[in-house]
Amino acid sequence: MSFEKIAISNRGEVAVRVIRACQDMGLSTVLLHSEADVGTLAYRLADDCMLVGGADTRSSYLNIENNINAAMAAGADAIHPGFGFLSENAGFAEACIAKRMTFIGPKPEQIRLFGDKISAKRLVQNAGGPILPGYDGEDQSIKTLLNKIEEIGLPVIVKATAGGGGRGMRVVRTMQEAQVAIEGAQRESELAFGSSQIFIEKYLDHAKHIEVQIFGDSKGKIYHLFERECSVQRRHQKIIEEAPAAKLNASTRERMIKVALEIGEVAQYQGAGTIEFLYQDDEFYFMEMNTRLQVEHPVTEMILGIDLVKAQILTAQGKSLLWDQSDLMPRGHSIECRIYAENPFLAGMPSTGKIRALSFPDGPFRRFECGLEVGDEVTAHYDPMIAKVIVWDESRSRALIKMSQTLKETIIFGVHTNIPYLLEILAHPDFVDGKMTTQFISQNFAKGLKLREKTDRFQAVLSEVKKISGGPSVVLNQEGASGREFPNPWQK
Amino acid sequence: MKSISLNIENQKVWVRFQEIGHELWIHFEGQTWVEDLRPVRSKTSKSKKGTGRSESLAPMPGKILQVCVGVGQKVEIGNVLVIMEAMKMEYTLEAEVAGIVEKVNCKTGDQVELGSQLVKLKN
Repeated sequence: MSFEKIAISNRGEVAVRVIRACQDMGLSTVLLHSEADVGTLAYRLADDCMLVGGADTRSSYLNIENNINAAMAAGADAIHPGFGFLSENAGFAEACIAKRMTFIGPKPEQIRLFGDKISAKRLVQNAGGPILPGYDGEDQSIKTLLNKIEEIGLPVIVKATAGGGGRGMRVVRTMQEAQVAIEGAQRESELAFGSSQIFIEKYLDHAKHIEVQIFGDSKGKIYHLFERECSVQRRHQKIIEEAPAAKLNASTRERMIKVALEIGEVAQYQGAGTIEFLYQDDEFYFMEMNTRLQVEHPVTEMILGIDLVKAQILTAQGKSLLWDQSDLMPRGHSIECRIYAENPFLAGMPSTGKIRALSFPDGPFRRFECGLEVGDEVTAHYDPMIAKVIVWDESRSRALIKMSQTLKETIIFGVHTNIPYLLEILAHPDFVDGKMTTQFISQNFAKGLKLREKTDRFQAVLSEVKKISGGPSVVLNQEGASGREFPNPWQK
Repeated sequence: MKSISLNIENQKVWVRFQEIGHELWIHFEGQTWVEDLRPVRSKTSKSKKGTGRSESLAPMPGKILQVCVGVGQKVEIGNVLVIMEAMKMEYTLEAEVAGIVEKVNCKTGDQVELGSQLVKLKN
């Protein structure tokens, strides 16, 4: 089958990304957008636009009915959900199919299977994949729980079975504190979720986050697209990603890839998927499988010379991919930095406002994914990620230098960005050596950056610039000329 | 956004900058800085001689927020006479000469025009 029109139920840079792929494939696009995204770059680029609700995501980007109705009204053959929002909502996928539109992604039952942490773990276990040692049995007696902790080996983390969001969670590092921790977690869990049931997992306190990209084509063949590392995260929000992993020996890579392929095959997975592992002391453990395109997919594309969005669209149409596993050989190294609209000198306080200047320094193997143009507004309604900067070079150290150079010349006026923060991270010895773990940010950059002093150099530049720019418009303390002369405040 | 090449301490420096409202955004040598162009309220400046104006005129159309002096009051250079608001920003108008307040032509809440005389001082 061939699509003619694809609806995109997303916004920002990923909507632009999908539109670009569609343009390259001769497919027309309809953007399903909220009120707050009228007039954004994706809105201007799309061939057609349908309003699906208000600024609040629940009324728009998370509203299944509105998205389905809008896509149908626009005559779309398929819907690309991007990432986040409804991309991993099995109900949405089913609703698409029920209305005879193709959902560009895996089958609904696959979304369900991997969306449930417990069923995902069971599948991986049955497939022979490594999961974190733990205990999630019915026997919740303190004696059993303490025994289990000793079996698993300290440190462990005690978690509420019914919960999430960090509540009902305790890290246990010594047996002395174990009982108190268990009872505390149980009490908190009862209060928050109405159930005191807890489970125990081995706690990895110096692990790297390494994930393997897999892809299932329309004929049922599962490919692997090597791995990425995403250890630089702040409260589980990724900031910097790279491909391949910074420091991973070949045999471990092989083992990880094998497990990932096995999982894909057992699930008969279709489309793009990512299996996340935690890697510590040369052991790796399955954490979860994401059944969608990921934000950091560009680094994989850069080391392999492929286009994952096009692959998704081809697969959804039942067509063959443009690659073969044997010719997928990674070359060089790619790094991605996420640019967030926040002030790193004020502990990452979000910054909103209109983009007044936007300049990305183009060069060989530099790639920019941005959903904004000058004049567009960064609001508090959505994710503060405003752009991604991706570079590729022939080695990790070269890619690092290229990324620093690129960020230093990236100019965004109108909102504050985390670029200074990214530059500090890139210069940190643990990052340069590739030794960083998921504790990297909390250990080194928990509070953002210290306030910057205005250097002499800055003052020198400032005074020169002021002369040239005509100075500030209104100077009320100026020893003015006599007579009725006053500066026009609106003069440039 | 303007782009210029400066010479600072015998080094070439490429600077990009743009005025956005009352802020000056400057980018050079890999860093972005934001300078607030609004004048800092200056303390009574002894170095200033009486070369200033004896009238305080509204530098732009706006609204009077506060009148800080009364007729007959003695003021020094730098004392705040009137605080007004325009374009959601506050402006303080200070005495440019030392003297005595002769006339006050506005009150809180008044909408004033560019150039209107708000306060007259007598040296």
